[in-house]
Amino acid sequence: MPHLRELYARLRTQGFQLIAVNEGDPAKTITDYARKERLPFPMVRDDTSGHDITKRYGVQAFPTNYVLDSKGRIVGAFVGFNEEAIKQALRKVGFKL
Amino acid sequence: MHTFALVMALAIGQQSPAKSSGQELLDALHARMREVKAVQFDLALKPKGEKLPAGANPPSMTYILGRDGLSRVRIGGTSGADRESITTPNGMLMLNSKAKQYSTQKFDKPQPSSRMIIPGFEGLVAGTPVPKALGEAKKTTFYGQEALAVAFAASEHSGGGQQTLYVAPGGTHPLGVSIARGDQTMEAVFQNLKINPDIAADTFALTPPAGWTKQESQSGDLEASLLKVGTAAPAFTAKTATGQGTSLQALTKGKKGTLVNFWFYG
Repeated sequence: MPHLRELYARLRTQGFQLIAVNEGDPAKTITDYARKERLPFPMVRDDTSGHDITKRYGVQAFPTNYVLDSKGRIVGAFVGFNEEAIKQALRKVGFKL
Repeated sequence: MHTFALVMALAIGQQSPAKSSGQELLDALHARMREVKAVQFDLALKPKGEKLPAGANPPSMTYILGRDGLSRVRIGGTSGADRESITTPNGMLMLNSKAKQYSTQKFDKPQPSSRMIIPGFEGLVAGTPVPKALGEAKKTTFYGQEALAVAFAASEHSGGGQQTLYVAPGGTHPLGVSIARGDQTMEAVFQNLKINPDIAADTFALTPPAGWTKQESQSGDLEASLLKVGTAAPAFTAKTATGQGTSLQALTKGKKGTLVNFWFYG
């Protein structure tokens, strides 16, 4: 996730939030990975037995990325890390990139 | 910690004497793999030095590699998903056994079979050169297995740079590989390796199971289920990796925009 770390570092002062939702890994795997990769953004676990968040967001593959605006509306939804498409959605929300 | 005994189906086959140089070891492994029809193993990928995650058994991925670019990879284990992809030089077949759906992709021109090479198994693909060893093979242990470690120059398609292959003594089979990626080293551990496993005749067939539903394309399939642009992102509560309760609302309060990234380490 170094690309996410960079994106976060670049945009956080502009009011950017990044939430990494993990499905299925043990908590220790996530915390170890976050420490090793020096990931500064919130990491949450979708560890309910039914993987509710992942399901409700229609996620079938990893990574999947959603860009939300300030009102929590979906501006973009992408399977994979399509950097250009994600940046374009972030520009729509008002970030300078 | 578990002990991961490799279940070897190659009790036959004489052990060649321990190789003194890295190149001899890679040569021996390559020669051995040239005689093999197929291999099957479970692959666990993790940061170097870390124990295998508890969920690694069953591991997240099971590979069956046939000769010359045939592969069948099952993603299951802790992900809760049950997906398989079958790749040949001519195309791919993706299977979603939960939904009984499939999608296919036919390559416009045959893809080089070298696309599916995993370090240590190069000999399965005709014409693939033996990797260049960088120095001597060193005695070590790899997840409880006696091993010889040899650094080698990785091919482009497996990430380039310098990688370290862990090989069973005598060069009979690979145990795993470590791959430096930026400032982190990842290790792929090949568990439950079977040489010439008993596999179905249609293991690599690009024929979907009867009665399953076809998806138009893999990414179309995966994106079709996503929430629509312009709709409100569903609220959720969750715990952080360190156990604190939080919510989408709490995390996005006062923010101009948010990227919600769904990921799975495996």
